Amino acid sequence: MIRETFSQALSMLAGDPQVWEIILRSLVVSGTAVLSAALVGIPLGLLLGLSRFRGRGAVVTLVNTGMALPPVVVGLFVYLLLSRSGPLGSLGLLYTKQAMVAAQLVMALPFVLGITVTGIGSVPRELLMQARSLGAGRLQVALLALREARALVMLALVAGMGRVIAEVGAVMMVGGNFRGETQVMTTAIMEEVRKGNYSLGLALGLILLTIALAANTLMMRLKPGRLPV
Amino acid sequence: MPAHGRKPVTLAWWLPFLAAILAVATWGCGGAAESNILIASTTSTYDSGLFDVLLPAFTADNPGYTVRVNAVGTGEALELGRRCDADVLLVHAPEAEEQFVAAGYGIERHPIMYNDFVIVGPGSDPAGIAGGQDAAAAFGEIAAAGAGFMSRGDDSGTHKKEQKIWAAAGVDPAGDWYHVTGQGMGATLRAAAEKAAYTLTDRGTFLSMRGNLPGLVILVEGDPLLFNQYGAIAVNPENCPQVNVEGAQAFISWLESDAGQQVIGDFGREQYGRSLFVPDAGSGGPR
Amino acid sequence: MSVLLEAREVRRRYRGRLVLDVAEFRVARGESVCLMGPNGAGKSTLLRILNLVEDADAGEIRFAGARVDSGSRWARLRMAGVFQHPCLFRGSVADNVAYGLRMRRLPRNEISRRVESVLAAFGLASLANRDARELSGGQAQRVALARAVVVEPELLFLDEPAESLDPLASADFQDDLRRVIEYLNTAVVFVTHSLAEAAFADRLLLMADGEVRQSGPAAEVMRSPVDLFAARLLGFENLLPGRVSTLMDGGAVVELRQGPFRLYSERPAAGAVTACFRAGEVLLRPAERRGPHGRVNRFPATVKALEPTGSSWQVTLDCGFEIRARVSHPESLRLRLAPGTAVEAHVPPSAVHLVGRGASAATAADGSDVGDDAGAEAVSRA
Repeated sequence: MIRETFSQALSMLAGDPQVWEIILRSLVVSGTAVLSAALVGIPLGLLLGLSRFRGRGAVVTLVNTGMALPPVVVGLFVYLLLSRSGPLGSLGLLYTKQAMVAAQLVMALPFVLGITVTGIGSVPRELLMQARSLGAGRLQVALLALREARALVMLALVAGMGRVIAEVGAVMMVGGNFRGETQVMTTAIMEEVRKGNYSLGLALGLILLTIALAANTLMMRLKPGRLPV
Repeated sequence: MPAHGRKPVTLAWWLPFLAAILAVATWGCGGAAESNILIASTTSTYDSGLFDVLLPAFTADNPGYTVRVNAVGTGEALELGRRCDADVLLVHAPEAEEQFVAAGYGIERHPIMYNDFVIVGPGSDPAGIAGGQDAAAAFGEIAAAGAGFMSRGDDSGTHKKEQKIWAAAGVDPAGDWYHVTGQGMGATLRAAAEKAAYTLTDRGTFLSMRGNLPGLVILVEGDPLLFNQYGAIAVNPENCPQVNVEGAQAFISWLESDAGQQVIGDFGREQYGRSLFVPDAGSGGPR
Repeated sequence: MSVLLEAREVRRRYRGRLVLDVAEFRVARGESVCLMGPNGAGKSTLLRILNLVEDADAGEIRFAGARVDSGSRWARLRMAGVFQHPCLFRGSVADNVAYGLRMRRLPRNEISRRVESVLAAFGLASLANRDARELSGGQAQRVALARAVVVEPELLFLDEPAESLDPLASADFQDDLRRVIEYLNTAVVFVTHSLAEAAFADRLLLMADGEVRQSGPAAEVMRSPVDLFAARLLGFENLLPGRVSTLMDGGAVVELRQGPFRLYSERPAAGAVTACFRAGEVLLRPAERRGPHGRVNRFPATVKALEPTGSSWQVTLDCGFEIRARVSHPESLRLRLAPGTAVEAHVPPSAVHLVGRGASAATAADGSDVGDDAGAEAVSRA
């Protein structure tokens, strides 16, 4: 069974351009979502991690709670927003990749934001004071904090990517799993399993696992100092 | 480690990602000029593969349309219709469909085809129901024998049909012989095969999975109670001005046409030696 | 000398408690100022406020004549600080040293030139490419000092930089510090617990409970503490309560509370006082060579205890009252010091400093000795 699954996975990779298309779509959709989450979440995380204001604790708690948000609920929320009868229905974004990106962004953001805040918070205050003492301005202090906390920030991105690329409920709901358009690996797996094609589902699962392994290995091998901070 | 290996701030690092964002932002924005038809259908219909032959035949006869199918549960399909997120519904829940139309969400219900359910079970047939044509009687015997039965228990069309049959048999299914999987047809069939239990399934799914279901055979078929009528409904533009009512009508008309009915009737013949869906447009169906 | 930095009425509260309340503080260009005080005296807080990395709750700070606060980056760019822990950033030693220069947007080649020269000056050239977080404590603190010095600040802040170092590294660091203070034309404000380091400073400030208790030229402050607290902080081990009985010409005779003993001091004082002198200034000689009895500040004594302090011995003597002396190892051998040995202790009148016992002494002028004594004890244990 396992051997059969493996050989099926390999032959699918070798022979079926549709599979490659699905894989590529998964990567692009989830990658875009995580990157957008990074573009929003990292600056916001810096702001939250470095500043002290009334209600900050409540905000951080809220963000951390967001990490536990079930994907289907996020999907439902984004669906209701983008539905033709919803407030953003006129944009016609339901059942598009943009909608999937939006849903995954909502899922990835608490991860990126929450872990970034934790990372920034773990940078000793004295170190940041030292940077100020050497003449750093606000922005430079923030960049230094990011540099010091980058291991955790990278972890935040990897964790976010891991969450969204493996998620099925939300993308199924807002993407519709349209073949050749919005079908991604997880929804394809879901469909195959539903049809009883367990081995095909497993094969796709193996591909997903391989991609995750490759991504994690790549992240681990990224030498400190080669990151854009 | 050499110091010059630690270059900070490289814009180049971000470029691929910016490119990716742009790609996604523009991807799929091309086909706006075509007429898109959005169908909400049940997963079992979708998974049978019917749309794989139906859609190319439709677009061949009606160029200029693109059709997309959203495969969801029966309840969700109706809800999508209520929320205007589908142009056409193709579902098999006659009472719910009529309510949907009566409430003004759909224009009219068009019977299109029916498929049938079969009672499958282990070849050893401990309840001795093989060859029967009365579904309710067969269920009664299964319950009386206390033979294992797998129910989907997921409120799907199939599950509703199963409940209807239990009611006809006058049995309240409960006990250690009655198992609820809470999953789809495929998973439930597999569970039935593993446990050598009986279950109710649509013929299409059973036939397409037969190779993976050792020991499971069709035991009871042909009872009109086991027939499953499909209807197509165009979502009402009075409730949803955004829907593509013209496309929806065109699709439904084609399904009712001889060409459409022919495609439906031929589906499955080659692979399974018999039709999986019986076209019955205009007949009102056996109910 | 022109004033570089000036602070007035600087106050800081922490959880409702006043932790800093400094009426006035000035640093002139090129001047070195040392802050001493027990932990929690507010030294570090004051330093961070003066360094403009934190804000005071009230008060005014002027740098080069202009009003500044933590938002005045232009002023911060003319300062630099080294904190108690080295606080090195991720990256190489050279990266760390270059940080302040990069903040000042110096040209790339100028940065590498300056980094190279400062690393050479601090004997760190061989470590330039090492990961800064793999250095020993001494190396790291030296890098931190180089990182601050390389920007050629007009004002340098050092917060107990040698505190966390082992004695050897600390001695090396003291040399670096002395060179920085003596050879750079930089004003320095530094915090230390070490009298040896405080001695480098032009001015010395003693702080307690957020306030400046005493300030003045370092040599003068070290010689003449204004109160018991200052005396303890400045290392006066012998604190003997008494009362001035005779005011002599340019000096005083103190009747010690313990027994019929008199101690002469070259400093004038009156009323209830505490006579303070350092253990290192007590001279010991053999008992048999004792001069005529009754000569000034010479007391027959018996050795009560002998404790090693590393390079020397601390000797506890019973002269009828108790005093402590410090003798070198060869000296202790020559005097054959052991518990029970009889010696003569000489306290030079020039070494005896008298501090008044303030208001409490005035009210207790008629000899409420018990209360006085308890007060003095409490201070000496603090």
